[in-house]
Amino acid sequence: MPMPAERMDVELSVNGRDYTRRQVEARRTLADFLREDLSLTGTHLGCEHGACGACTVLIDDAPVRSCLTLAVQANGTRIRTVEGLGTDGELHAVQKAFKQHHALQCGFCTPGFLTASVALLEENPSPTELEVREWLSGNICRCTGYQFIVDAVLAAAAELRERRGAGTGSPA
Amino acid sequence: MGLFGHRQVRAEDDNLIAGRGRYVDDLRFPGMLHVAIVRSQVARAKIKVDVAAALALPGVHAVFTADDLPLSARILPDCHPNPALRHPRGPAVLAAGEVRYVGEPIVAIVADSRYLAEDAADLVLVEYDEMPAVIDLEKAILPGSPLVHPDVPSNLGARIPVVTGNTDAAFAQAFYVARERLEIQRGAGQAMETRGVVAYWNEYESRMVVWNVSQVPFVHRTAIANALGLPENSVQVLNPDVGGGFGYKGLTYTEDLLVPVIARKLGCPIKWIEDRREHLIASYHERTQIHHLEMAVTQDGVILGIRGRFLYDAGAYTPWGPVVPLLTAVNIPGPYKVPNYKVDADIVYTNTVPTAPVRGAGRPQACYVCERLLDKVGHELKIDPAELRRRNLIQPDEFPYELGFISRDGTKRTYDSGDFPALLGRGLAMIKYDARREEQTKLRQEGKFIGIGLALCVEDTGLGPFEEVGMSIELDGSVTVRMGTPSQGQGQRTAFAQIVADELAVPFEAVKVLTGNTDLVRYSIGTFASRAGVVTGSAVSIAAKQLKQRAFAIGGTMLQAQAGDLELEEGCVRVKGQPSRSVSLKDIVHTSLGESGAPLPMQEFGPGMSTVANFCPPTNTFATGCHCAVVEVDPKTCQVKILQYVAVEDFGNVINPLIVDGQVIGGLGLGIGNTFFEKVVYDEGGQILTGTFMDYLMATTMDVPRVEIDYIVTPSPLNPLGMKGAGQGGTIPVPAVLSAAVEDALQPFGVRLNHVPFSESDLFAWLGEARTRAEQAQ
Repeated sequence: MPMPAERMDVELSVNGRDYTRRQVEARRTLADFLREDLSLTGTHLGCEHGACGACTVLIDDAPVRSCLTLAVQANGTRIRTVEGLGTDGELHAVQKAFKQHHALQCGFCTPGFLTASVALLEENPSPTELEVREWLSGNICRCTGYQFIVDAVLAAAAELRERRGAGTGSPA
Repeated sequence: MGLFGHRQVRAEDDNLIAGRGRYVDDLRFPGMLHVAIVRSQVARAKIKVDVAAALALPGVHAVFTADDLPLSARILPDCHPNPALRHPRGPAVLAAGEVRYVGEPIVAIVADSRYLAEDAADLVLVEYDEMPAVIDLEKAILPGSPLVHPDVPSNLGARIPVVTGNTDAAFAQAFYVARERLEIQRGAGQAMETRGVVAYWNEYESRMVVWNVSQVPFVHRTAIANALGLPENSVQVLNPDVGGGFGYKGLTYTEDLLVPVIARKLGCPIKWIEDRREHLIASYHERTQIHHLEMAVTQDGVILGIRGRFLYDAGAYTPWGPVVPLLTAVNIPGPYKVPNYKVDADIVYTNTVPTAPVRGAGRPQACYVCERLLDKVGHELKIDPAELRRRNLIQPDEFPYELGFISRDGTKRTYDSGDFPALLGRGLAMIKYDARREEQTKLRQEGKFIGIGLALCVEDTGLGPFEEVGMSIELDGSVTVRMGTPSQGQGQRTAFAQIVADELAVPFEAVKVLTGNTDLVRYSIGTFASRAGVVTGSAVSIAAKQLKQRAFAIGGTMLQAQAGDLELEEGCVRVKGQPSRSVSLKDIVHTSLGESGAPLPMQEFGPGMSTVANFCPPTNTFATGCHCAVVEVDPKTCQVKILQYVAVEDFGNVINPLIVDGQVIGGLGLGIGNTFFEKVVYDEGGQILTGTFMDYLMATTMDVPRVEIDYIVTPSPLNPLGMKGAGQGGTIPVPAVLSAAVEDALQPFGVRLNHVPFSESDLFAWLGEARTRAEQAQ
């Protein structure tokens, strides 16, 4: 069992970029590693006890609280943060929908909602409103009252289905 | 069509959705050190502190106790002095010898990293010689109660009466008097971003630079300058993206002074970021009030008067004076005609976290108690709740309506405009009130219990004294707006750009709104009490109009045309009817600035296209609203389902309905928390039992229903754009509406609600008590 301040090597990929042999303290949270060591400050800390969801990142495509995960636990994984949701310089459909539907006000909880929503749509491309609400019930937003967030996720789901339908020539 | 009133998507969002927001915890400066704070673990004690072990830990640079602070930085200033509060007590920046609530800061550790600072915090030895504490608001004013401040003769810090008419005479004529004890429990702001401060000494300008999350950077500039013994021109306060304000970030906190003091002393950048536990146990709370009120009515339910008193829990200190209880006391009559009124606000010290405004700021309590009394009147006199309200509402032809007492701002409290019957009518129509009543009767026969609740409210918004706006048209034709009211997510960059784009006929994208920097304008008050949109927005409009007039004057000279013959279209001053006689704003700026080294070409106008405007409202304006809800309560499980929620708001003219919809629904989310979930719980010894988000519950996606919103527009006569503030209207009536709806659903069981928040477990217990009462009565 390593001591908390003992340093260990981690290797992981973040937003498509590989980091080899980064030294971190065993006790360093993944959130602090992303924010402080990699300067990816898009991931926010709302409670640091796993209850608010602001720090949600995708580890091997699964939404995870980066405040409750140690950086060393993420060794060997592929991580996506809010900075890496888009592709080829274009924002993800969920991100665009958040702007279009006024799904954010102060923006602090937004990265966690975005990553969680992307994970939902990757798992379930056609969620019902109730499924969206249930999926996002572990994220707290103090500004919006959630309605426009739910609208944005449903709109992004429709947009992605349409794109996929257009791309493959088959109905979504 | 202009952009005013358009559902413009926000300019702010591109950064925020991409993870490029910059919040205070995202700031990094070379050589920056990190602060962790040791806080009191007991509610009342004499303390002795030993920091030797902490100081010896490698990586620790300094440890500060009260003795290490300059005398000017030991106590927070009283931001709202009021003569009624005869013994105001400001919080200690670091506790000196005594602590008065759990969470009070005692020691600050400065270290290479937050991890090390927290390691060192664990090594600080605080010896507590515990003293009796008083936590309960009602016990605190009993004779013999322990005193929170031994030098203050009683925990009753102030009694502020608000009076009009003759209540004794009114109550003597009453057909019926409704009496209630009504309790609103303690809650908190809980923005998703906690507080934080970064400070450093700017060597080349010899001034202290402070980045914080303030809603009132100019207030903080004054407080920091005083604490450091610096002239105000040697302090700059900046706000980066701020993750929600909700009122309590508009206060001054110990850390707002502490961090700059440390930065000055150590000569390097210092960062302190509050963690959520600190936020839950030490950032200011609000809401706790216990009311003993009576409402006297005629046989028809017409209000003759309201009288009584309420206790307001100030906590251990009074950093914001008696503002919250005063707001409650003047807001209780709300939209109703109350000719005789006498309510005492009693402000009580307890050994708890100090209290100060949280979104709504005393008004949700006022709305709750008035509407609960009305519901009792309706129940006892068998008058339909909608009809009862109709009989008591101030009528549209009665504006301006004087309430007969003095407002929070010292002026005669006068509602400027509104249409309460229209608000109520629209709300009732949206929930199909009559059909719902029939449905309710039918469902009861099937063993299903739905209930309807409604409430109306007023909110004093757009408070003075002023806001200043600077505005310039740049050489490339873009427009820069400089203002003093910072944003915590309200979308000011978007809304104010809409006003400018309309006035100056430039594209929305050509306007950049700058804020959150005390260098931008000369003076400012701040963003709170639904005032930035109204007061700053009006100043933006005035500044843009000034620039337009200036463009006509200079453009008229350039075009050799009379100002009256000119129009401003597509970024150009044109002679009406002769579009070829046109000069662009860009060319006007160029020409009026002249050439480097040469005399100014148009001396009579002075250089450039820049102006400064102030807006000083004569008094606050009043936003009004009516919310209606339909709920279903299962009497077996006591689960409450919100079947329909309708919000009809009168915010006057609205700049951006998309943003305002967001304010309403978001405010409602807090209101739902205040009704069902949010309570800060202390045990008898003063320990906070709700120190995590697993204990302090807030509404989630599963709790906030889809809200139907509509607007009634009665423009305010008190500002040029006819606006009223929209920041709190979503929150204020919610506990009143949902309490009424749940009570109505459970009406066959005789449950009366006089306490928020209430949980399903509370309902279950109250339902049991009501059944026992009914059985005993038989």
